[in-house]
Amino acid sequence: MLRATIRSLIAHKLRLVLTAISVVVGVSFVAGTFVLTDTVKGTFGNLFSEINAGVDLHVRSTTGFGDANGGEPLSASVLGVLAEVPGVASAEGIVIGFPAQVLDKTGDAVSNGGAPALGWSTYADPELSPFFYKVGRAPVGDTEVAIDAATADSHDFVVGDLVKIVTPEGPTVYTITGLLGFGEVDNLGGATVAAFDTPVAQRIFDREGRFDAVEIRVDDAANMLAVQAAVQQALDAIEPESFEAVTGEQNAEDQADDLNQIVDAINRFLLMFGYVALFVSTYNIVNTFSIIVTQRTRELALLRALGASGRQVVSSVLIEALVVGVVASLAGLGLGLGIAALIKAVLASGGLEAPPGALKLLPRTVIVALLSGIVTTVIAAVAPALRAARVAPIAAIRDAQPPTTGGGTRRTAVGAGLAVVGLVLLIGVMTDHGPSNEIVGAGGGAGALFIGVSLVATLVARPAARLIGAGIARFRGVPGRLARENSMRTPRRTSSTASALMIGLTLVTLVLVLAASVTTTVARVVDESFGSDVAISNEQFVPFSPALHDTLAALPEVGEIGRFRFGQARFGTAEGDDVGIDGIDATAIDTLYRMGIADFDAVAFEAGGLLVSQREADKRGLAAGDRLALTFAATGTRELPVVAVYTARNFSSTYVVSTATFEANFPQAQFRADNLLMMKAAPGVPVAAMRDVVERIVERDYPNVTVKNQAELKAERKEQIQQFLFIFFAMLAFSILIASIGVTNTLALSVFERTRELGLLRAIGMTRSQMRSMVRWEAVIIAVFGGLLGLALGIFLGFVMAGIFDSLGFALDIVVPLSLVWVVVVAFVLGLIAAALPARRAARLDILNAIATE
Amino acid sequence: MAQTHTPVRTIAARAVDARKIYGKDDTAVHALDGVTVDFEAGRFTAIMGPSGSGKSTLMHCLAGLDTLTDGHVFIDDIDLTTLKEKDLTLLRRERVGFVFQSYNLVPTLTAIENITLPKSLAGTKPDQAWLDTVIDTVGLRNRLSHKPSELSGGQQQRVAVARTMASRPTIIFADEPTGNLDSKSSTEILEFMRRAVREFGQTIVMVTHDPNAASYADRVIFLADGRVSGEMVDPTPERILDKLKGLGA
Repeated sequence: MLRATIRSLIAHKLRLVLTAISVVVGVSFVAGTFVLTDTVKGTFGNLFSEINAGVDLHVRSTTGFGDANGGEPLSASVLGVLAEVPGVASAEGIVIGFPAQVLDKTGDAVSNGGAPALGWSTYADPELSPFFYKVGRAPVGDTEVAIDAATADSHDFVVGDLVKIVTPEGPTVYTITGLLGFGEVDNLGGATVAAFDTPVAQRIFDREGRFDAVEIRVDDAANMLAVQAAVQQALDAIEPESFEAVTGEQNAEDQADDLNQIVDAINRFLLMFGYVALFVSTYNIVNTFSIIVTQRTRELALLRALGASGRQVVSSVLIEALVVGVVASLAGLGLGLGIAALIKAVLASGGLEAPPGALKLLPRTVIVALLSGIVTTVIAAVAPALRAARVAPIAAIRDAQPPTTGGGTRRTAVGAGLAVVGLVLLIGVMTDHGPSNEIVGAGGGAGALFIGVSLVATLVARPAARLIGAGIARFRGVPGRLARENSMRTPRRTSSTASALMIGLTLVTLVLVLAASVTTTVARVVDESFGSDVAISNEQFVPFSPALHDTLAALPEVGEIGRFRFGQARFGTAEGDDVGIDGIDATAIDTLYRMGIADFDAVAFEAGGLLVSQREADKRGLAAGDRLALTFAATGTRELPVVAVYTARNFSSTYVVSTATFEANFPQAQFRADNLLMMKAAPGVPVAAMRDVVERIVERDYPNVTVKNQAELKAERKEQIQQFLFIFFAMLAFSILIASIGVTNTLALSVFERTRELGLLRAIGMTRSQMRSMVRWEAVIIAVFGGLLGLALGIFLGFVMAGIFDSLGFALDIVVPLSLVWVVVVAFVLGLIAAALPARRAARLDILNAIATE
Repeated sequence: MAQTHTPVRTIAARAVDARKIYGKDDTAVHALDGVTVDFEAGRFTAIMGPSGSGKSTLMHCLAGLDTLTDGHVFIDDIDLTTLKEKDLTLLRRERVGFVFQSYNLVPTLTAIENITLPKSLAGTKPDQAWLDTVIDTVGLRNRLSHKPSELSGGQQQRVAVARTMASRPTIIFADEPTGNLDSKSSTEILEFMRRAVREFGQTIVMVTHDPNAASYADRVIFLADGRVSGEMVDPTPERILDKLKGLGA
């Protein structure tokens, strides 16, 4: 039997190669994702270990549920106490502030893909310092700064140059006294770093008399654990349970954890597409093996007649699948490594300098990549294998024509059932009512839905192909007519090939619908809530220096002006749901920014009051006058009174507090900057005049933000959504590519199967170009069928998602955009491209051989 | 060049010193070794010969399905050896008809669609009166909307013959058209082909190894070892058998 398997492998090498390619693409996606994210994690892990290398103990506050940098600042007096603890060689208070936006020599903001612009205090003890001076010396006094060597290199700064840096105090020109290195590298994972004399950093970042943390170096002779205990004791003596002293390694891990969470999220996001790609390749595998089994019917029957058992037949097919799976998975793993290396190189050229070192290929990556590829292939081959075992020995003698099968009642019923189960699982996951395991819920749900729809699609394949092919049959002559007939010949094959394409296009459609809906919703929200003449922000709403607000507020041309800051807290205790908290100036409420509050009590709001959205109030049963507990990362649980419930649809999250309340509860550096400013022209001043003045200041000193009116804000949001779309499409392209390979595969097999018929057609006068046309239009019909299935399912899921969002508190104006036409156009073009090879092959058939084919 | 044959009627197809060699040097096989033969218009000619005599190769080359190594083949005085692939296809479509042993029909098309397929491929309408004549002659009127899978083997061959007739080609080539049929169906097909020649002036060339089938022809050409080894006019099965015995088949 093994020999028969090997013979079959060799005989079917072309379609096995096509099948293998789809597995290779999927596996390489999965492997590449793991390798890349592990490498990035490793890079950051090393980086944080390096910068914490000299730190024995790291002292931070423990209020709230803060992370490594999220705690409340410590009083400077703590430093004095800790320096006296026996065994402490040196202790330093540090400030890590934000933003310290470096401007390059042309006045543009230096930014590496959204990485933060950090400000740092300097260290007296070089061993504690995370950075060292590659060139020059430490900055001293108000006018000096040291910047990271990577920024200096890429923007031509040298020691002695002047550099403008925008801090919370506003734009200031400093003299560069030194260039910073971090261990072996010249920057901190893309972030820019500006180091200031410690008192200067304290002043700039509102840390006068305070520090973000205290770092300690322990005497070489002393016992680390004893010193740590002594330090903790000293801290508890100041205020019990308010501070903790952790080791430098621990701090490095905590700092890396923050980034790792982001990297993990990216990892999951990318993996999703990898698994979708693998899922799509199962369709190719099922198709290929089904057809191989059909073609081998006679051979298999002969084997059965000679005494092979059904089990032997099954294992012969499965071993064939196993070989394909193993080879393809190994190739995929290799390709994944290559892709990761390529992306790493691209990232490095984009400013994210990683320490030189190999890609991280963890055993887990190898196992997951190989297993997913092999298991996918073998499982997909099970059904065809079982069918092979059912081949009766008598089929060896009969002229075994592939049976034409349609959608049986059972198949349709099972499909419908699976689709419903899948949909229920998906809705459950998104509304937190389903299985807690996302992989089972989302992956299983989506898988069941797609398989279910594919099974049901068999039922409609014939009429759908007839309908789609109507125009082709009418206008493309006999080749068009035959193409339509051929696409209707084997509904199962047509529907499963189309379904593979459907998956990617469903997701494309869904994303298009959601993007159009979000764009429309955002535009409406902007229209409804925008009460100002212009707004200032950057695209990602990255916080910018609050000094801009003060500068603009002082201008005579500017009338009302309000700042917006966005934060998060937890409902009730630290274990509660994450809820959004916006900090907004009281003066902006219902003037610059519509909230729809009757009898707004500005005084109570300023004094710590809370505004709650109507939806949240309904959901939680809140009303004005209630007191509500919220837990903040830095300051812990606070009880705040509900001042009003707001009814306007605006872009505020669920809760709004005054700027003062926000500042009191978000002392962390990243929240002490503004996300958005809104302003009106002063009475009597034309908007254009005000805008002119504002724009001049922004362009000169705050190049990382832009000024925009209502229409421009909408356009900017729209563009952002478009960029997001682009990322999705790029990721989904892999799945669609695999599905296209599937179309090629199916067509190639059909051409092979119909060799005699094609020979006959050629003999009685079909030209080569008519032959190509026939194959091409069949591919187009199959692909467009896939496109229409994807369109229908995608739109349906769009409505389902909109309903779910609505129940979660984001009312979405569902829009079915005209751009969806492109889904069908893309399917059409993919069909044309996928048909190229098989069409060529069909056209080149040797007529005599074709006619002679058994 | 052999230019000896003097035609008494119009020549529909002709081979002149046709040679077809497979392989090279020592292993070379001369499938056609200098065949010169004319096929007169309006006659029913059978080609016979033992396996490997070159009868199928000759027919394929005459029909433009295969190319010669040397020599010339003509249909309507068009030298097929000078034609490009595309022109050969058009020639097949317009001037040549085929009936194969089996698998003559496109399974996705109905009987009538199969009959009109060459015309449809050319993008032209068939002559309806002629089409009706053909359909009635083969007796398929009530089977026209059936797919091939719904027709018997004999009916399928009748559709195939009707297809070749419908486009009124210069010449029809039939390759063992009765090879897969029972004797009743065979007789039907052969009689129909003879009627096509007698009543409608159709030219038919049929390759067969069945003396009974060949006896329906006006003339039989015998091939052996890639050469013409004899000819018989107004054959009977008995005379053909005698001749074949002489050829050592």
